[in-house]
Amino acid sequence: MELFFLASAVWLGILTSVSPCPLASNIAAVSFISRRITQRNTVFLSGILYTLGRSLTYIVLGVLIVKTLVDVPILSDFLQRYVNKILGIVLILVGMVLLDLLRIPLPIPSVSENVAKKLVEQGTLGSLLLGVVFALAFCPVSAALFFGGLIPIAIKAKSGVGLPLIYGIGTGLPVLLFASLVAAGAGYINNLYHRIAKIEFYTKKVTGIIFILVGIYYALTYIFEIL
Amino acid sequence: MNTRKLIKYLLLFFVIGSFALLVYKEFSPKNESKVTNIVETWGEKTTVSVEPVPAPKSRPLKEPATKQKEKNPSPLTEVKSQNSKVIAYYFHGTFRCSTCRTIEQYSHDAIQMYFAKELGNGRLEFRPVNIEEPGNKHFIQDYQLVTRSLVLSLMSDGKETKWKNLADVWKLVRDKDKFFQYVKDEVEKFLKET
Repeated sequence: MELFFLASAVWLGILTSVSPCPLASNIAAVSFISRRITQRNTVFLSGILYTLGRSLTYIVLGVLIVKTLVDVPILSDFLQRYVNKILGIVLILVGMVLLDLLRIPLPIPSVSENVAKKLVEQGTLGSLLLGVVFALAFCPVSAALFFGGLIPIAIKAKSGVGLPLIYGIGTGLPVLLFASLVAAGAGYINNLYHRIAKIEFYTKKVTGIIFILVGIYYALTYIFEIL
Repeated sequence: MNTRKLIKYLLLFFVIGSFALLVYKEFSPKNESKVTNIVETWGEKTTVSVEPVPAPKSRPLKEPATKQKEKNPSPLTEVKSQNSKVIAYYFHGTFRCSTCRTIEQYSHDAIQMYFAKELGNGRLEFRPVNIEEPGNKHFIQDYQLVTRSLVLSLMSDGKETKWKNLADVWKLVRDKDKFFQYVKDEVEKFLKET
């Protein structure tokens, strides 16, 4: 029975990530994670953190629902209604930062500055945050699979943490896989041409452009409602 | 560097515009939504009756009735030839995803295919509803909707006596035959009670 629950959770997660509606955010995630393209370990670590970020969101939601009396339909409606709208704006701004069109003034105390800078530059912390935010952006399919599919199982199994965690891993797996493939492929091409420094310059730009395009797509779809 | 600046300002302009529109849409007085999801109703011809029905039960609307309601006077008020009927609601939002469209299409087609007679005589009705439109929000609570859903509702004497969210439509959407069978079986169960 336990195994059955676990398998269902992974499967629901994978179904969520391969459904068409999160496709745009998955593309953004893959390009973000694999942008440190020459450092395969960093890409892999980013992918793991992105996946954990997703799990984190689902765990928080799972605990809220299983342990407290949060009204599930209201929560689901709220997330679907607002997160996607905000996400478009956030993605454009992040894309602009990646393209150096905007600068974020980070008021970080000097002691932790180095650490924070390292984390941000490595892109790993960003990946975690990206996972958290993208997981919050529910669309009809993912809402059906999470609120309608996973949550009933989690309630039955009294598992507010475990099953959402596994589900989150399922939703992150395809992104992790693709990011690794991109990194492996690009690394291979890179080895052929020995242009290590150059290629990362471009991957960062490409990621920025993808973020802006995906952001515009989200804004047009969810705010302007014309797509 | 002029193109960079231009792009930067264009993007910022777009961001600010989007944000303004978002805020406006949220806080503007709920003006009638332009979204066109006119409720399709079938089978009214045979059952429509002109005289007013005493105290038709309508769901408590917190906001004034929507355009839809005006255009299509609720069949609850029209059904006269029998006391009970089944309403198959398809609930969707303003954003229509492709899977959701398929579910709506299949539900509609299955109901048309198997229940043409019931649709014709008013015992059954298919009604798509946009839950994001003003006045429809209560459905979220009423039927515990977490996503786009097909819900069957049994009405007798203007009161809802039973409802069921056909949640398996999401599981069966990749298998058209099973989907049709599922809708057929569930609707039949409801129709038996009318």
